[in-house]
Amino acid sequence: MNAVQPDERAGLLVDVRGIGKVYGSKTVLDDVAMTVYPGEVVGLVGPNGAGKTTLIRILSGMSRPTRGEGRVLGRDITSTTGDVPFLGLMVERPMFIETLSGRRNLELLFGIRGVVGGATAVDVLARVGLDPADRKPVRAYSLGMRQRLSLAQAIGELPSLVVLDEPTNGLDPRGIIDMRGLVRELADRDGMGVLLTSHLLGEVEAVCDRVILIHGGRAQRVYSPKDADARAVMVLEVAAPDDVERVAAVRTLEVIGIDAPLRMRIRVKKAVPEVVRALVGAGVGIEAIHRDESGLERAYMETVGAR
Amino acid sequence: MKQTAALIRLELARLFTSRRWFAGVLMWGAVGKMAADEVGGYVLGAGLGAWTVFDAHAALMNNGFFVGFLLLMTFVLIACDGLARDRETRLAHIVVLRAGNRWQWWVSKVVPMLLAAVIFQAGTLGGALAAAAYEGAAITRMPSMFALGEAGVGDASSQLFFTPAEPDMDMLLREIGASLYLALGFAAVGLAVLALTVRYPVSWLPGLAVVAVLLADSILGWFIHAQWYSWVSLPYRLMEAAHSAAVVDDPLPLWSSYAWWVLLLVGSAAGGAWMLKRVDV
Repeated sequence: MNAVQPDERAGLLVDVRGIGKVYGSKTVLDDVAMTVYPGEVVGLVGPNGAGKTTLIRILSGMSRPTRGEGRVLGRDITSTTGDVPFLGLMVERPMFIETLSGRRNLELLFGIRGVVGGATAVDVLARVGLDPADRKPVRAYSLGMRQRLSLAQAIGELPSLVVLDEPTNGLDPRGIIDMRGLVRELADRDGMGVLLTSHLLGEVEAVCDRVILIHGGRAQRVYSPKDADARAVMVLEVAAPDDVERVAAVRTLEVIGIDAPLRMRIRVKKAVPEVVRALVGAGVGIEAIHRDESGLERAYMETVGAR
Repeated sequence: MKQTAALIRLELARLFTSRRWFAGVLMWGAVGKMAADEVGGYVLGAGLGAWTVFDAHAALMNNGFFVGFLLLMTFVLIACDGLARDRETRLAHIVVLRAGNRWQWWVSKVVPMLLAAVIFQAGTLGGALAAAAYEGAAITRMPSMFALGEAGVGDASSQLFFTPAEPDMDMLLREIGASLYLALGFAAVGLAVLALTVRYPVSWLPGLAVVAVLLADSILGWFIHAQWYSWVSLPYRLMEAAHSAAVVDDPLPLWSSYAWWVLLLVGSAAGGAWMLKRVDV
C-alpha cells in the first residue's frame, strides 16, 4: 500500500497484510493491507457492506481473520489467547448502561483499565461538548449526545490508537465541525493514530492524511488528500466561453476536465500565484480559482463505479 | 484482580439497575400470593388452626409450575441475556477492549449472574413471607401443624408437597436453606444459558432455551419410566421435596442433585470460557 521500509515498521500502530475474512461461503474481506502511524488520521471509505466494520472488528481484537497476519499495537491479530489491544474504539450506534448518567458510565468504564482517575471523566466530557454535571440517564440522550459520549470513552484514556466508526453519524452541522477539529487535535496535539470510517466524503477529505478506499472486501486504492498531486488540482471558473481556449494555451497548467461551460479542473505545474499571473497575462477573465476539494469523491466514484 | 473487580462492578451496575427487576418483584408477589392463598385455604379446610408465613414459602418451593416455569423463566429473562445483549448493542466491544482479555470479561458476566440467583431467591422468599403475612399467617419461626405434616404432605387435590419439618426446627433457617438450594439450581441453569449465548449471541435465546428445555422435559416425561425421568428431569430436581422419602416413593439422593448442579455450573463456566476465546464478539 504505502511504501514502508522494514526499519520503519517498529513505530507503526497498525501493520497488517493479506487480511481475509470468510463467513461460510461469503468472503467479506480479501487480501487487505494497511498501516497507521502515530499522529496520522487514516480514513476507511467504502459503500455499505464493503467490509469496513469487519476490518475494524479484526483490528480491535473482536474478531479473528481467516487469513493474513500483522500487529495492532504490538498484538498479533491472529492470537487465540483472547487478549485485546489497548486502543480506543468508538462504535456505530453506541449503547451504554442506559439507567446511569454519561459521567457514571465513563467512571465505570475508565475504572476497568485504571490508567486515569475519576476526574478524567469530567474533563473528557467537557472536551467532547457534553455537560459533566448532567445527571440525566443515557437512555434520555439524543443520538448526537450518544456519539459524543462514545467518543469520550474512546479518547479519555489517551490510547495511542483510536478507531472511530462513523463518528459524525447523528451529529448536527456544529457537531460535525467540532468532531473534525477534535479528530485533528487528537492526531496533531496528542500524537494519536486515528482510523475512522465515514460516508461523508468531504469530511473525510478534510480531516484525513490518507484514505483507504475499500470495496467488495478489498482495499482498492489509497487516496492522499495532502499529496502534492491532489493539492495541485484546482477548480477554475472563467468569465466567458473564449476564456476556455485561452486557459488551454497557458503552459503552467493542464486542463484535466471541464465540469460546466465556464468551469474546469486544472492541474497546476507551478505555484498558484505564478499560474494566476500567467492566466491574467493570457487575458483570461478569472471569476474564481480554488483548490479542488472533491478529489476523494472522484476517486470514490472511480473505485466503486468501476466494479 | 483490580481490573476484574472493576469489570464486575460495571456488570453489577448494568444488571441491577435494569428495569426488568420490576418483573421479578411482580412475579415474587404473584407466586407468593398464589401459594399463600392455597396454603391458607387448605389449612382452613383441614381444621389445622394457625399457619405461619413460612408455610407458603415451603409450598411454593415445591410447586413445579411456580419453580420450574414461572420463577425460572423470570430469572433467566432478567439475568441471563447480558452477554448476548451487550454484543447486540456493541457495549461488549468497549468493555472487552478494557478487560484486556476475554477471560476476565467472562468472569465479570458469571459472578453477577450467580449473585443475581441468590438475590432472586431472597426476593422470592420475601414475596412469599409478605403475601402470607398479608393473608393472616402467623409470624413465628416455630413450625405449624401444617409444616409438621399433620394433614399429610401430598394431598391429591392440591399441589401442596413439601418435606415435613421437625418439631424443634427453625423455619426461617429451613427456608433460607431451601432458597439457597434453589439459587444453586437457578445459577446452574442460568450459567448454561449464558454459555449458550456465547455461541449464539441473540437476546431472545435465553427465554427460548428455557421453553425448549421445559417442553423437552414434558415430552420426555411421557415416554420414559417415572423413576428414570426423575433422574433426568430438570424442574423435578429443582424441587426440594423430590429428595424426601416422606413425600415421594423413590427420592433422589440429595448429593446427586448437588453433583448435578455443580457439574452443570463448572461445565458451563469452562465451556463458555473456551468458546468465548474463539468466537467473534
